[in-house]
Amino acid sequence: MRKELFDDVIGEVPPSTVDVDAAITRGRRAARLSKLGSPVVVAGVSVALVTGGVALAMQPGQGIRVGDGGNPLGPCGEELPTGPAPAGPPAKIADRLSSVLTAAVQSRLTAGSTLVESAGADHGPLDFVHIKTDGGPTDHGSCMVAEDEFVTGANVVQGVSTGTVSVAVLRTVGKTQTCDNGAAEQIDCEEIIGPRGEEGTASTLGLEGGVFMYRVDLDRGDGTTIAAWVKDAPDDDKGSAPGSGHMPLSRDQLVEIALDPGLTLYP
Amino acid sequence: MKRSEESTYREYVTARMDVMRRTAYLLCRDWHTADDLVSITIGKLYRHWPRVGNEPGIDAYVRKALLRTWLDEKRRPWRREQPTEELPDLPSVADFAVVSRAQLLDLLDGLPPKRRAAVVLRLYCDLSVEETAEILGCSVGTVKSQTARGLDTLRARAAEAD
Repeated sequence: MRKELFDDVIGEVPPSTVDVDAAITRGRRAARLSKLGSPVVVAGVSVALVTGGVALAMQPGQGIRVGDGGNPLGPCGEELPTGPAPAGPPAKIADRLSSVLTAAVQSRLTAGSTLVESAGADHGPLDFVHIKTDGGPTDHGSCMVAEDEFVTGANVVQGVSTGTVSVAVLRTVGKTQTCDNGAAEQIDCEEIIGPRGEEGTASTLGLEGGVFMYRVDLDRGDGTTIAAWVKDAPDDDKGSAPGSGHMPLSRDQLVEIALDPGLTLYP
Repeated sequence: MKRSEESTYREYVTARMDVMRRTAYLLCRDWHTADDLVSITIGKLYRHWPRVGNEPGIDAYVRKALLRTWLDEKRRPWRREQPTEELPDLPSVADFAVVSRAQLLDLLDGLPPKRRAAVVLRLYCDLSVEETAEILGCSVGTVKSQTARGLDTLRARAAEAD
């Protein structure tokens, strides 16, 4: 009876907004990216995809039209990138992005800081890895968004403190990030406009274990979206290391890095 | 994860969705937050499903994940509520006696996070003191002291409602 008493006072339950397909999509992505040894990338990209809408209800018979984010829609309602696929072999693009990012980060780290591979990573520190997944309808009446992005991460060691820096460069899909649609963990946020018309947000998030994260989401306006994070804890296999309180970069520095004109899919 | 495992995960989550949402709502008293908590919880569950999906204690695992997700939310520095080592006493029998059923949620809302969790686990999820202590990470004695008077009073309220 006790349970019934509680159910009675709960009253009418509103329709669920929990998206099981989205959870599965994020889980698949996390499993795939965990092989890169960079859980922070997983967490960050997941947030971006949640706000962009990962799994959309299938709408049979729907033709090609433009979605809420201004992007064309695929055959089962998934929002597609606006820009064309980047030209050239992905490995060559990854090398170029790695060089640009490494220079941008190293020039801003404090003296004595060292970039090292994330635990379990199969790539060097700040070496981009290309991830491409075909989209399309699933067996469960939903639609997977096609993914075509370059991701990387590294631990930053300074003395006894270890933090992380991670960046994803992807084709723009959906609306530009605003402070109003930020992650639930968001503590503080400011909207930014770059010198070349870039638009996005710089935010501070509080994560599990007292970990703090600075995050920048930026649409370059050329079809490239940048998502960059730093946090005050190392990436480990569980992604659960406690925060040290020492951020490897300031939020302003992270904005500067995201605005680096070399971090684009369309140079 | 194998396709067959993903299928059983989907079936489990779908079957338990209602009780997860209701439990989350009793904890946070806001349906949007409740759905966020459930979304985070099933995301965690997906990662561990191949290991825990076939375990007999899967329901307890999910309840613990949901509780910890909520408690983590309460611990975030910008939240007003702060966790405490020493939990205050439950409202007295006399306090409960003047509480109407409609006021039950408000009463829950007034409890500190861990106390609220103990009451929800014991009364709504119908867990034993041992199971509740394990989920909350405290002693059996603490759980007993936290919920005993509340249980007695709510039993009385339930009897009145019959």
